[in-house]
Amino acid sequence: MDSQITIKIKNISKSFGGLKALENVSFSVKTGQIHALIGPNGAGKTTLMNIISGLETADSGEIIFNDKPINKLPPEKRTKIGIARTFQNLELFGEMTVLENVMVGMYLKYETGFIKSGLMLNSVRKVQKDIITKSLNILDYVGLNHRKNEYAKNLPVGEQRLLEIARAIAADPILMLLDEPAAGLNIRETKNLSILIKNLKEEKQITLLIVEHDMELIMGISDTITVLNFGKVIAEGDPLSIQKNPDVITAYLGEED
Amino acid sequence: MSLLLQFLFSGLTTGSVYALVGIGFNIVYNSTSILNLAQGEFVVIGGLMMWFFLEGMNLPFATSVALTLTVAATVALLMERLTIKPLLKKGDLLLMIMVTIAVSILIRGLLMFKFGKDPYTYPPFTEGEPLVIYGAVITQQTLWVIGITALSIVILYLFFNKTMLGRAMKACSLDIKAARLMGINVSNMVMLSFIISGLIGAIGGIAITPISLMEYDKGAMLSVKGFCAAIMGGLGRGRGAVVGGFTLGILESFTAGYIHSGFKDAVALLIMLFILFFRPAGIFGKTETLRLRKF
Amino acid sequence: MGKGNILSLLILTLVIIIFPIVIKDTYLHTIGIFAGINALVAIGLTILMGYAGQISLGQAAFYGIGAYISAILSLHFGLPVILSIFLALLVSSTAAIILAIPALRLKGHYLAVATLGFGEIIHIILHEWGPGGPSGFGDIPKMNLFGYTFTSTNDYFYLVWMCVVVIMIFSLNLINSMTGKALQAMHGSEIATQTAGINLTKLKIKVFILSSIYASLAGAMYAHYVTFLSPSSFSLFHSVLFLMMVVIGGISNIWGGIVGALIITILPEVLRGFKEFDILLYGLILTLFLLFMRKGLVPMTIDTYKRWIHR
Repeated sequence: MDSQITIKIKNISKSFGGLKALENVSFSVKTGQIHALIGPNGAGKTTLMNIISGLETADSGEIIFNDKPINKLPPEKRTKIGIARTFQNLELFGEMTVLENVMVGMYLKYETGFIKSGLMLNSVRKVQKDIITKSLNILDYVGLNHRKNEYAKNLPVGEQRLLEIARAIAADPILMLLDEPAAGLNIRETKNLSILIKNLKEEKQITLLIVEHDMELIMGISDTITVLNFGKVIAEGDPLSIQKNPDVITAYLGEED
Repeated sequence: MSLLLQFLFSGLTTGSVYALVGIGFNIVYNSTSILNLAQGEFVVIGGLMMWFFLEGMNLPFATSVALTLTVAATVALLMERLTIKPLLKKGDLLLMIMVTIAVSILIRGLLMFKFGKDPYTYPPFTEGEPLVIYGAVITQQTLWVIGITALSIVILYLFFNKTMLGRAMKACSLDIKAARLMGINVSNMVMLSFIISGLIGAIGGIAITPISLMEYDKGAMLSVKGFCAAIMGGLGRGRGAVVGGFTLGILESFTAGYIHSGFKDAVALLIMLFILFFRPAGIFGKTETLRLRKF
Repeated sequence: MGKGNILSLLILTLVIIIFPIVIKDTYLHTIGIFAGINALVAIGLTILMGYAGQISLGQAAFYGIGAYISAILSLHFGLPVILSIFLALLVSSTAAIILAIPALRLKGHYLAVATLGFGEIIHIILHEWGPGGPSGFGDIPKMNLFGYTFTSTNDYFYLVWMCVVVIMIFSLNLINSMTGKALQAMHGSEIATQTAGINLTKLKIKVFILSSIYASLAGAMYAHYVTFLSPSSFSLFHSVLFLMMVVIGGISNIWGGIVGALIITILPEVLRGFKEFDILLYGLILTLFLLFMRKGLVPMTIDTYKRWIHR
């Protein structure tokens, strides 16, 4: 047992109607690291994210989180034990305010129940105040405080991505999965994002697994990079070694130019 | 034996209408992913309007049929253009369900305003001695209903498989984006699917009314049973609805005959709930995962 | 609860107190009672549909279960009315759970027809096995609380609307709590709600139970007021009427339930002379609202007010 490992992906395979999305994928994310998962489109990255967060089930293989297999846990349980995530396609609660979006992220820690909530007991009131204070702090942290009362659907993409991260922080996770957090961001926003991600790691001690296409961002912040191509792991290592890896260059980086 | 045969034929007769309504559900569902809960109202439109032209205005049979079908097609067209088309792109499922309910109430209201609450009927298509098979009496109208249903199914099959228009509609149901790229006017196809499903509902109504009277408020139950027929065969599968419709009709008829007529309507409801809860791919459908399409 | 809600509650309470004092017509009091009873159902349906995003076309069934169970227990088993009502709510909650566990895995259309099917089955059961069958039964005890029997329309009006206010306060608290936000979140994105650590099934079942309790409470209050029940009051058409109340009043605002209930209850009384028109009119109103006033009256009024203020 390696206590240094937060999550271990073991021989995960998944196919959709004969099409193999993931084939025997294995790698480990070390505690306290920023671990990037890269690969060309259709390499199976988002599928793997979904399997880790429980939205899809693998055909075979195992996910081990903090030394415990979590394959059988439903998504909400996985979040409760410390795996939060963001979505490539932005899954915000559009009709709710920015603040409320973050508050929902905290629900799992402060579930109050129907009857208590309906009667608005003092305990509920106190918890609610607590949640608002904490949510505002998180909004401050990601730099969205000035937007707190706006509807999430009215934010520009860059801020929506930040809001997703804020909501994930609210769940107080051990591991955070970021699915293409820089998609649709401009250069300045991407820069701020990279600072935020580093802060998540250093200040909040969150381990991160990031799927991203922006190579500059990935090379700048990652401790370890795993490269997927056609559902298989083709390389793993630090940014420098990945950049030099001939397989990666032909499979992926070559195409980019 | 004779009683059993009698129930069987009466089941096949009502089952024919369920099958037609079920097919209507499928056609609209395939082109829009909507369950048109107003589907049953077209059967009522068929029966009552046919009475109006035939008995009320004393028009010849063929003219009455033509006019009745025109009315049904017009109602379906108006429904699609005025209510479905403006809301379809919003992609709000709750809204779509409610609007088909709203239209069904609107149609029911119009029919009640015109015809009142009385049941209506008119003479069978042909007069003549009923057939007697092993002691079971089978009226000629029963044969008409079953025959017309069979013919409608054959025509629909030919339409969807042998004509360009039918193939274009089929293409839309398989992949809307691809169909659009091929230059098919998807919006027109949706309209056409409503018209066709309205027409076959009305045909069922025209044929069945001489046997089982027609009244303004029969539509809701017909919708439920047509839907039941459709999901028995797996929603979206044309032939499934036919098998589903006939099976449902026969089960109902046996329930009414051997158990208690008050439970007749419960059969369809229980089958429907059972399928929705436990076998969403349908009883006669393959067990492959049903396309529980959102939008 | 925001200032707007507290103010609205105060105004509502005031109107309730004054109404029977100013208007002496018992016929109008009766309509008021029915409006209040309908409002109870509509409030629950607003939470279910507008906030949690689930549809029910079977709300009349829970209404009917509340009415029948409470009536039968008090009439045939001689239980005190209050106990009968309480047991009726329990039965209705159980029915809600039985329906919800399989049904809530279904989405949209399927949930709609499943609840519709459930409603119709309950209707058939009342029809076949309910006391008196299709023609119904009477002599149901009047509402009786702590030894006081509600015989006057005036008193019952107060009782019903007091229930509405209490239920409203409870519901507003709920909606504004974290639970309410979780419900709204589920409506917005089920995937995100799930990955935010919220158990969707549990939440859906609970909100289903809540709406069934409101509906069956309303049913019981109806039974002990009219003292006569027949299955025809609990048909699919009534489920659609409840749906209409929610749509007209405004699905996204809990006050919409009350406004919608008032309108739909008063409308047939206004149109008494045009009996053959009523279904047509219902259909027309519902269609027009869905096409052109989708938000419903209460949210539209609030929007207009806000725009007017910002000018």
